[in-house]
Amino acid sequence: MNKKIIISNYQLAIIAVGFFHGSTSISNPAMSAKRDAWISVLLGTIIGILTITLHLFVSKINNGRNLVEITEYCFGKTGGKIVCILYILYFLYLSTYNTRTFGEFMIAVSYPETPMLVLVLILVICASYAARSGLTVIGKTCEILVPLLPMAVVVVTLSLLNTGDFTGFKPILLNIGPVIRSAFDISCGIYGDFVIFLMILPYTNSIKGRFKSTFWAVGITFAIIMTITARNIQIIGPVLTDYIRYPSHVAAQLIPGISIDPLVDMNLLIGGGVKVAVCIYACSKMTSEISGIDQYRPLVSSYAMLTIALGFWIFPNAMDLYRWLKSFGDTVLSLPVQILFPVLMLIITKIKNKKNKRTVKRTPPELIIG
Amino acid sequence: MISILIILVIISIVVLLNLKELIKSDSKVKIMLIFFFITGIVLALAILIKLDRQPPNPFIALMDILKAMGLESQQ
Repeated sequence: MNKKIIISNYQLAIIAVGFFHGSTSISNPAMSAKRDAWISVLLGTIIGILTITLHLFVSKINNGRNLVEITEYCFGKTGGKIVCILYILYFLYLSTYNTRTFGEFMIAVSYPETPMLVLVLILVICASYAARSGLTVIGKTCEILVPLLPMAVVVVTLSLLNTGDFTGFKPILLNIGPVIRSAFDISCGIYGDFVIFLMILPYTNSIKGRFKSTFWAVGITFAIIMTITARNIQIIGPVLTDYIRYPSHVAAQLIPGISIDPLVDMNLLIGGGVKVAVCIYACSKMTSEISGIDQYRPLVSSYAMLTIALGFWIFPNAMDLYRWLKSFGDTVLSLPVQILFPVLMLIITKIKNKKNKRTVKRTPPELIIG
Repeated sequence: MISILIILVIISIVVLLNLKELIKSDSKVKIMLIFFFITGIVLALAILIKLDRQPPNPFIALMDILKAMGLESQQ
């Protein structure tokens, strides 16, 4: 189970930041919580940390196995392959959703005359090129591009921060239901997708460092989302934030004398690109491993095309995408792959590891040496 | 008709770009089978979408099921 180390823990953290960021910079992750959105972000991050810790422990106790090997170890050869196919479908859904979000945003905001296919193609070509080149290239690209994400958020926020009136945040917790609902949305939609990193974690250079770098990534993501959410409540107002599809873009347009809203577009391009690249990489790698193929690269382009085709089928227009975002559908799809299967994997691996230890203890030392 | 032709051209370019790797692979048959299976799905789906005869959307069905279960969308 010794794998070739491809990325450092710093690169893992930076890929995770880009991946978590995804499309959150433009959409409103806690739209239903309105003025309590910041509480949702806080709660969502706490739930997200628990989910991520679960994924990290699954990877740790499996000692160098990736997602395909873990599922085969836990559920057997056939069962493992079925679970893997479910994971592939989920990752495909993730890349489709992010590609489509990017396309809809670009059409609505920046390029209304450009055909959707062209915009989506640009993102998918970039992402599939990175995925084809492998984890090292994704890691190195992220090292250059991902630091721009918090920078853009800071620039937009500081440009708008000229008010001392914080009444937009009051009254607190008037309606608790939407706050909890939004917290789960944030946890499932942002942090829970870390399950995909079970395909990446075994290729990093230390187990201890994985925990540290992942929690750093969570901290940075939390700071970014909290800043975006608080800024939008403060600048646009809680009521309007609920009705505007892209509040961050509107906030950037409010800066007097200069047009820096392309910074928000850039955020989506980087975050969305990283997310789509990682998803396509995981889909192709998993497919090649479960079918015993030595190369995953030719599958990248086929999955990239499938991402585009599925986008036009599943989310035919912006309204359908918006309806899906507001429904429980995403949470329902996420729960089994993010929580249920990892919990089962953790329990089964613990039991199997204990059994293996007992077998080794009972075996006479001369037999082990022999 | 032109849009279907464009789809065919795009898919052909992708296939041609990958052909060398597909042929040189150690497990040629398996990889080709999977590659052309996925590409076939893409082609069929793209043509059906262009002809406006796409299969029913599974996500709309899921949303309807959730609605029937009482899990309504957010207001």
